[in-house]
Amino acid sequence: MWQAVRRELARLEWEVEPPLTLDLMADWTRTVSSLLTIRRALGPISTADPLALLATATTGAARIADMKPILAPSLGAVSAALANVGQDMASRPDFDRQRDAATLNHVAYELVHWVRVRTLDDRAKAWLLAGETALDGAIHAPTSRSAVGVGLAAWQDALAAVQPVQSAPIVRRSVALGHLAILRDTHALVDTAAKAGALPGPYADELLGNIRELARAHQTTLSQIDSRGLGATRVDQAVMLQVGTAVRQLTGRPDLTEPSHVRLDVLLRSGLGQAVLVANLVGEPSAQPAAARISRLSLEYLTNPPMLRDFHVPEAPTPSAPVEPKAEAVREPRASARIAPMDPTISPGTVLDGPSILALCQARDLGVAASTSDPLNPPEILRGVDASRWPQLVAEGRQAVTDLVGSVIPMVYAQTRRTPNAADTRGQMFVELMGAAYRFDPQRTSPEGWASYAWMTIKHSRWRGVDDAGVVRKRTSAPRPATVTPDGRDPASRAPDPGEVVEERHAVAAITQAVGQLPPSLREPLEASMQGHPLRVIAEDLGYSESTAHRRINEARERLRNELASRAEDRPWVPFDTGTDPVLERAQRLFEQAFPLTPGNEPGRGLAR
Amino acid sequence: MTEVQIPNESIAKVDRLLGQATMLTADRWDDLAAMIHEAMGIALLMAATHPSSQPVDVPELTRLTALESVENALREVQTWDLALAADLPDLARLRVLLADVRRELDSTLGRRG
Repeated sequence: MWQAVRRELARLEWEVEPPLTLDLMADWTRTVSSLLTIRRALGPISTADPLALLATATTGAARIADMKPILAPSLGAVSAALANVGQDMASRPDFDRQRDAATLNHVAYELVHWVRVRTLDDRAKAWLLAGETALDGAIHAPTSRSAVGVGLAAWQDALAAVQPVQSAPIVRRSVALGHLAILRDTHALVDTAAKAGALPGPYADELLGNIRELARAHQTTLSQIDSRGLGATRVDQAVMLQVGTAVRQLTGRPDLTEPSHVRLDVLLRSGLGQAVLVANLVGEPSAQPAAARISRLSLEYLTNPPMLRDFHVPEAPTPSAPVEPKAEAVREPRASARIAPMDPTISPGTVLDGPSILALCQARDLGVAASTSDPLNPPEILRGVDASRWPQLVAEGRQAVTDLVGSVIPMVYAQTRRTPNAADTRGQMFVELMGAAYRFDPQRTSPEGWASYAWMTIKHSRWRGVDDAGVVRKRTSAPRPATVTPDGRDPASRAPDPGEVVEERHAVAAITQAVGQLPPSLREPLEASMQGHPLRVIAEDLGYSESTAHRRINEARERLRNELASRAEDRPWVPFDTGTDPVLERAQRLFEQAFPLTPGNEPGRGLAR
Repeated sequence: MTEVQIPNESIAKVDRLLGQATMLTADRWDDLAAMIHEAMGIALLMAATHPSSQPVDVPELTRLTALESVENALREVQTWDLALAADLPDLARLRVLLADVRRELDSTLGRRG
């Protein structure tokens, strides 16, 4: 299975006149995509998987502004060979999951090293080294999955996400604040390990000294930032959401089931939360030397992980907060109850009957009450319930909310298929759904109304959407202040022209308005087809035959097309030299994407039922 | 369940105040610093999830001591409707953390911060 890849790797090294690429980073990005395809065929990928970390690191490298294209031998043939391996991999006779996973890590490691040594930009090199180190650790000193590792993976992901706007003050502030938390945690663990004799003294002393030096550099960075006005622009909000989510994962109460030496091991493997990348982002000159020394010490650790032995951190006194039961060690930590919840106990898309929804809502309300009330003065809902049971009620309440969301989660996927920024949009919809699950009042309509309520929530979220920076568009209808930069572009947006963003918003508004004006007999089947329902299901739900449903959807599309076209003709400000309205042209394009020509007839692509 | 207005501007102020407290305690490595970091993490995510529609300024922010920053943040949080717990699941944790940090700072640093 791997012979072609091996041959292409050898060619890459030895061919005298190899085909060249003008942009090695673009080539490498495609190659990583092929590597990920293989990894997916081997099983689910956690965020802390070395291939996932490599992908994040590659994203970070590719997003570096003003990086000159690199002329180098092309990775096209390797990429093609890898893509070939990824096709129908699991059905091949020589498929061996464990062996293939090991081979994949080796190939990825070799390739990322090959790319890194040919990369000229130091910032891109630092990113690629982060990916290389993750693979190095997985190959030479494999370790088990860790909650801290998942948090650090989110941190690396956030660093890559904010890379395009690294000069923004909000980036410097958020990254410095978050990294201070990582440094403090590491400092505490290293200090304790050294005192317990679990880490060589000189190594620990050098590490502690550099951690303190880097913290002072972050302090300097923060003292120079004028925080007035931060957080008001879309870019700022995107950065805060990315970094804030990661920081929340890292600063939450530690999972006490995870041994201290495991936490420290993961921190050291991560180069203490990618100290060099952080130093590059905050841009404080005094941060660079300390970060470089921390990175060197981390690599030194990676060559000899047994230098760290098991040790125990005495439990710190914790405030008397309502403590929820800890999940098992392998479970990912929550960013917050609404962003990274526990796993649902039901299969996604399970249709819940009225009594089940009512029971979940009651459990939710009990949990909310238990988490916020005073045991000495319990509210009505908790009268007679022993206060010792309240933490359990809190956990059950959160589980109930998670199950409510799980029952409707396929709606999110139905809404975001074939959309740009699908991951960002899904994340936002997920957050909206969590909020809806907390707000839903079964007394107001009926318990069965939950699915409709959820659908309306995500539909509004979809229409509001997220921009290219992954930022939620505001709930307000008032025009937002544009982010002004010297070249007139929104720095977080990959859209080349801010005018296009405005056009797109007008276009979405035009479609939304036109859909809203359709009679219910046409609007309902159209919206159902937009949700991804198969034609058969639409027909069943609405009580039509399939042919009637098909005809009505087509009629709805036709009316929309005419409506949008008539608006184009009505617009007096359309330039005469073009004779077209860019907004409505875009609306037409979006419309074509949103409403496929043959609606909802793809088997197995609709809502889970 | 009734809708409660999310105090977006107040959340942004708490974020600024805890950023200041984190900066001023960057050279501390004890459990108190850990609690400040946890509170800062909560506020940062809250501010990101519920952004203010207009720029927020905390007067004299850079002149505040760590203790004053935490005290002001606690006062701000205590003005929030408790019914927000449904929308802000970390609200209780933030209140507890800030109260503890304020008490600890007050006892170790007094009014000097």
